[in-house]
This record gives sequence, C-alpha cells and structure tokens, in this order.
Amino acid sequence: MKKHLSLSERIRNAGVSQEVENVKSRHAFLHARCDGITEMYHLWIHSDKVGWGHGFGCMVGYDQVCHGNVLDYETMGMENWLKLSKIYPEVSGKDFRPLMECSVHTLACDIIEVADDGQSARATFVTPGAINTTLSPDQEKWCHILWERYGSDFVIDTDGQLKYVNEHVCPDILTDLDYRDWAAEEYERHTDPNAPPPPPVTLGCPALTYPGPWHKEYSLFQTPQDDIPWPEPYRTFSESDHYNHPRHYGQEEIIKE
Amino acid sequence: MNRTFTEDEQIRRIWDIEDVKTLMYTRVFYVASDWRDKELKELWVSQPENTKTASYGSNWGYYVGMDAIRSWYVDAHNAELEAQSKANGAPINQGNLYAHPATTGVVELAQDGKTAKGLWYSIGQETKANAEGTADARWILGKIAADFIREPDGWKIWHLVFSVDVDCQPGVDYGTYPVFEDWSANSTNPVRREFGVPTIEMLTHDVTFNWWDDYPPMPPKNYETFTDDISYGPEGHHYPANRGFGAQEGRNYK
Repeated sequence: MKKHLSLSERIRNAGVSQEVENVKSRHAFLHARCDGITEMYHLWIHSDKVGWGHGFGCMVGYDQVCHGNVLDYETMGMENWLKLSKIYPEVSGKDFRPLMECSVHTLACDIIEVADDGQSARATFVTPGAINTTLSPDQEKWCHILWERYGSDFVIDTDGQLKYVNEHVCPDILTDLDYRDWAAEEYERHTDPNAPPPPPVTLGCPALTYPGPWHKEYSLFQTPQDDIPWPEPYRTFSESDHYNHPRHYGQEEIIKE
Repeated sequence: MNRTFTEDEQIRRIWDIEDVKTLMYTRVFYVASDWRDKELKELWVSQPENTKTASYGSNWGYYVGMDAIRSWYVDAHNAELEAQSKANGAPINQGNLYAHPATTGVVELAQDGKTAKGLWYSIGQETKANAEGTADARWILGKIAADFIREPDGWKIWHLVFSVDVDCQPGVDYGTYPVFEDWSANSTNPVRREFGVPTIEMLTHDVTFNWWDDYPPMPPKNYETFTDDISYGPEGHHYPANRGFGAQEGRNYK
C-alpha cells in the first residue's frame, strides 16, 4: 500500500494498472494474428526511444522496431503465403499475415507497478504460450509450446492513452506441444553430430541497435537467468530502470517527439 | 469519445472491471467442478429480457436463449455422463477432468457502465474415462469471449463464445492429424460432436485459416454503449467482407 499517495492518486493508478493488463493482452491478440502494424500504430509510442528486445538483442526506435516487428514479419508471412498458394488455392485473396501462424503468447503472473506520478508503469509477465498453424508448406499441421518471460515499460502518451515504450522478450523453451522433450533434444544436439539444430525461438533476426544475446533459451550448460527482474515501486519514469535500454532517459524525451 | 468521470464513478468502474474478471475466473472453477447447472443459475443472466437473447457460441454456431443453452450445456451433457457412468460401471464423472483456464484478459467496460466485453485465451484440457479403464485426454486451446451485463444482483454472463483453435490428444504429434477436418454435425471430432446441433448452425470460425476470419472480433475496443453490431452473440457475427474460398475449395482451375 502506497500510503504516501492521496486517495485520488491511488484511484488513478488502479485504473492505469488495469490498462496495463489490457494493453499487454491486446498486444498478445494482435500478435497472434501477425497484425504488427495495428499494434505498433495504436499501442506504441512513436518515438526513437522505444525498444523491443529479444534473445537476439534489441531494436531501438520506432522505425527499427517497425522494421523488425512489422516489415520483416510480414515478409516471412508473404513468403509463407507464396508457398501455400502453390498447394492450397483457397488462400487466394486472404490476408497473408494470419495464415503464417497463430502465435498466442498467453499472459500470466503479471507484476505491475504504476509510478507514483501515474504517468508510467512497468510490468513483468510469464507466458506459457502456444503457436500453431493448420496450413503449412509441409502440408502438416503443427503446434508448439513456447515459454517466455516479458519485461514491459509503458507511459501515458500526449493523447492520454497508455502505450508501450519497451518490450523485452526472454524465450526459455520451445518444442512441439506435449510431444517432444526439450531437454532430451538439447542432450541429443550435444551428443549426436547428426542431430537437427534447435528450432528458432523467433522468426529470424532483424536489424538491431544492440546485438545480443540478451537472453538464452534453455541449455544444459546454463544457469537460470534473471534478465528481467520484476518491477519495484518507483516515483517517476525518469528515475526508474527501463527494460531493454542500458541508459536512463526521461518520459518527456519520449512523448514530445 | 471518453466521458469524464468523478472519483466515485472511477472507483465504481475499476471495481466493475474487477467484478467482471472475478466472474469469468469463477466460471473457470465451476467448469473445473463440472457445475454446469449451477453456472447457468448463478453466473448467467436471469432477467427475462436478457435470457431470451443469451447465447453460447463456438466454431459451429450458437445456442440462443437460456432454455436452448441449458438443454445442450446441462441436459445433453448430463445424459452423456449418465451413459458414460452406466457403460463404465462407475459413479458420475469418475475419471473425468475439465480445465479451461482463462488468461491474457482484456476487459472493456462500456462508457455507460451497463455492459462489459471481455476476451481471454485458454490452454485447456478435458479428460474422459472410458469403459476399458483408460481415459481419453485432449488438449483444447481457444479464445473465450463474453459480453457481460449488469443485472440487479450484479454482473452476469450474457453472450459467451468459446472459439476452438486446437484440439488434440496429448502425446500424439499434432502433425499426424489431418489438415482438413469434417466440421459438420456428422464429424468424428469429439469437440465438434459435443457441441451438438445449435440453434443457429453455421461455421463461424474455420481453423483452417488460423485467425484470418477474426472470430470472435478482437480485441474488444472502448465503446459507449452496447449495440448488436458489436455483440459476441450471433447478431454480432460478421464474416470477412470477402470470404473467398473455403477449405478445399478452388481446385478446378486446370
């Protein structure tokens, strides 16, 4: 209980906390339709300070995040559609993006901290998610599980809406749904020279400002990682730690652009 | 356009959203206990003007009205349980397990505060015992969408959709399942068969194309007041403007 805040401030911050849940979940549902542009346009601050990190490193700035999260993603979707179109004529005329996959990063275990001034929020989540598709170039359905952790920063934009500033994705395990064993697969890769490489936990590596690795998926030779510690109570965004960025900056620097 | 709310109104709205979330999570526990009749009595609408338009939808249509919902969701289910119990020589529900946890929630409270819309995702399972002493287990993944309405005794479920994306047997490679499935009422798919013959029978969501059809429409947006057009009931269902070919269509081009 933040007893140093007035009742009005606590009411305001409770509303912001609920909006964090909505924004993060909206992101998850839009991502599952591979609708990156709607997410970027409506849910993110349009600033060169935003950051989107993954195991591969970190994209910085709205343009670079859009390039990786929208253009690169759509390119993969288009390439997939071209392959599908040679097998399944029923994809003609359909939006190619959701046909690529249904990547549902379900959200749980959220820890949300709203700044004392109510102008920003930080949160961590865990996803025990699933990714599936029905039509594939291999003419087989597939369904994977993907466990990740997320660290997210949000600020109130000039339009009064809560929006993303940073997203840091930490993938831990990816394998076929309840069919393969990620630990056995990892052992096989170290003991059998003919073992297949690990499945990619993300679709390619986009242009980056800060190359990774920022987080590594499960390995037999690795100890548990703590790349996105849960948020602690804080006063203002300017004085807080930020997910992704190695340096601090103020909220004003972001939203006035 | 958002209204401006007093502090008292803001508190009420924050509380309403928490109540809606609790209602949905309560349903998760009722489902886990297979308390279907109790769920309809306690968690769903009871006011006559709402019971007529209540609906339970899935990929294959909608049951409309509480009587139709109860006839399928409770009565038909109980008849199946009794048949199973008799065949297995076991008490009702022995060896069965149900879990449809709701995660990834988005809740939008109408600006007028009379209704709310919510969307969740569920990685769930159902397990059903059979006469051989074994049991059939299935992963069931899908969206749960709902409209909620405020009645005199609190928030209630008005329209609910469970839009199935994946159903498969644990331990079996999902890639070995046929790409195209028969979704008619004659389907052998157990999830489809369980949905029976709804009041409005229609293919609302074809998993062949992942979420291309955006069913149910998501995520819910900020809205002033409830209208049929945004309903998670059948009146709010919209096919994509250009439906194109369905699964396994469009092959006579040579």
